[in-house]
Amino acid sequence: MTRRLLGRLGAGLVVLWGTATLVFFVINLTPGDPAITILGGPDALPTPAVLRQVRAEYGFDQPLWGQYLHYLGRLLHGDFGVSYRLHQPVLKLIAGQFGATATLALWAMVLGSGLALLVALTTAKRARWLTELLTWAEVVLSSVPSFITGLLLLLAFSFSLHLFPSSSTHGWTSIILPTVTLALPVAGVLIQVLRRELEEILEQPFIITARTRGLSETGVRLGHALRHALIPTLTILGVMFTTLLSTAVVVETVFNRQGLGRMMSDATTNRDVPLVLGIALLVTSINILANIVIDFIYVVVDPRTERHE
Amino acid sequence: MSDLLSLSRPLPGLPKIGQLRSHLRGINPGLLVAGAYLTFLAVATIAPGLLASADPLATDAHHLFSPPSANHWFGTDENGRDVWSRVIHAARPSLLLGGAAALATAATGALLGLAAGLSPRLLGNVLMRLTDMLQSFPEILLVLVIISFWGANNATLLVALGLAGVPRVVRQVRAQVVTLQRALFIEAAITLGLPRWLIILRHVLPNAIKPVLVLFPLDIGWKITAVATLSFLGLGASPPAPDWGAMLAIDRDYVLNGWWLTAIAAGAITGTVLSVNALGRALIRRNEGHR
Repeated sequence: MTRRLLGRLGAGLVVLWGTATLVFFVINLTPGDPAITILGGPDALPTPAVLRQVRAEYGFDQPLWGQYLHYLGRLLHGDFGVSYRLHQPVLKLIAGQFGATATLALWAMVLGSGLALLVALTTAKRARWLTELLTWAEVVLSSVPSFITGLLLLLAFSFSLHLFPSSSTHGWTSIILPTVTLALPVAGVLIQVLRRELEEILEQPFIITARTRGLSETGVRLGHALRHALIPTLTILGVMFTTLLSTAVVVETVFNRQGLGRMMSDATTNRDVPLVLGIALLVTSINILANIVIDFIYVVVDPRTERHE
Repeated sequence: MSDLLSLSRPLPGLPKIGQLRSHLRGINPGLLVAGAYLTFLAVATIAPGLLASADPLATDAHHLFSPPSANHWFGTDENGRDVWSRVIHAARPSLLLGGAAALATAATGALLGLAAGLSPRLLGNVLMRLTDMLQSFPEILLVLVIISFWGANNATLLVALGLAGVPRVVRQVRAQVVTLQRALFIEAAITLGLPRWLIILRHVLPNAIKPVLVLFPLDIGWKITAVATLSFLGLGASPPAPDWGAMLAIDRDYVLNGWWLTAIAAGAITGTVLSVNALGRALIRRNEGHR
């Protein structure tokens, strides 16, 4: 198990190193002055002082391989450069916004999976019309873009009913509408997967055995079917978390909230390359880590997967 | 008399009414609506002038925020422009960019997947590790990174959106190619002495891209959503050119002046994505063998 963990971590590091390398060469091989690219493209018109500072910071006067080593060394020290719009180190900016987005994503995850569990457990293998209805509900949930869900919720609950604030980062009421917006697509996907699994499992012989022992329907579903249905769902959760972090880009803008996503979209608009890259690399690292963790939970929940390797 | 009798018999070659009905019953009514909506959008894309006669850019300072009426079916916006006309004219950029990006994804992914499956082991492995790297980047972030490099214009958007989703296609195609290489009919073709390129073109490629084609409509749906999302964030077509996402971003500030503006733009986007996805899912279900 430890060997496998080390192997996976190593592979993750290789992916990160490759991503960083790719980014480096894209910046350097883009036609034109790389310093200008970092400063926001040809329209940026930086002052000579700033230009000199960037050239020194990235070591653009050195040969390409020297620049590359310099760049990797800085990344290893957690130095992602300085945002040229906000005049602060990228890492410090990210640290300031990370908490708000992580809280939002976690709540959305809790709400989304709770909703999915409830709906899937109560509706799997029931009347035909219910299945039809849910199939359409799944299409709608996974089709409506998040920014539209968010706007509609704002229209209904903030502007018409005045139940929640339309834009704020503080107080527990401000997080409810963004959480719901993020949770709905999560629930949409999870319901699909869980229901498909449950419907297959509820036809297995061990379910019939459980029923012949006189277990109630609820007992069968909660005690026997659910556990087996959760295994394939785990794989999706890993993808889900990063999807949540990236959907935060949209939702935080709609609800005017502070956070990593909002910073990302603002930085893209301003073409603040160091900040955009810093956030992207950070989320990618989290993505890789999350997938490794889920791989291991997988083994714990279903020990057969390790023996197969 | 005999003439009358012969008329009461069904004409040869035409289906009986009952048959036709049972044929139509097989089609989900929701899918019919989706199909009709997409046909309408196709007309709006090819010839917007047919559906909307008003100039989408003409402003009218005397009629700001007028509610829907006979003159302006969807009312007017904050500059007095005809909303119906703007919604119709915005179909073309959204659908073309979304469709082109989905095509780019499928083509690039299929080519790379084919290459990864057919090339020697080492090269194939390198290609797959590169795919891993691309895949560990969440798609929206990848798109934003590319836009921050080269600015928001149609070419950049096409490259960025085209690249998002490529890893999935590469994996699918490569998996198919690897399985196909052991298939009996490929072996038969080799035994028959067919040249390698012909086997690849005639037998491997058509079978390998089938799963990609099945998911293609869903990918178009994803791309259209992404296009709308980006223009909503201010990273798409620049005003005053009509664009659903950008219209929504502006209308949001005028919710109190005219809530229908937000509803119309939101409805146009949602309807499109919903229709594409509904048809795409029907295709997947039919492919899996159950309706």
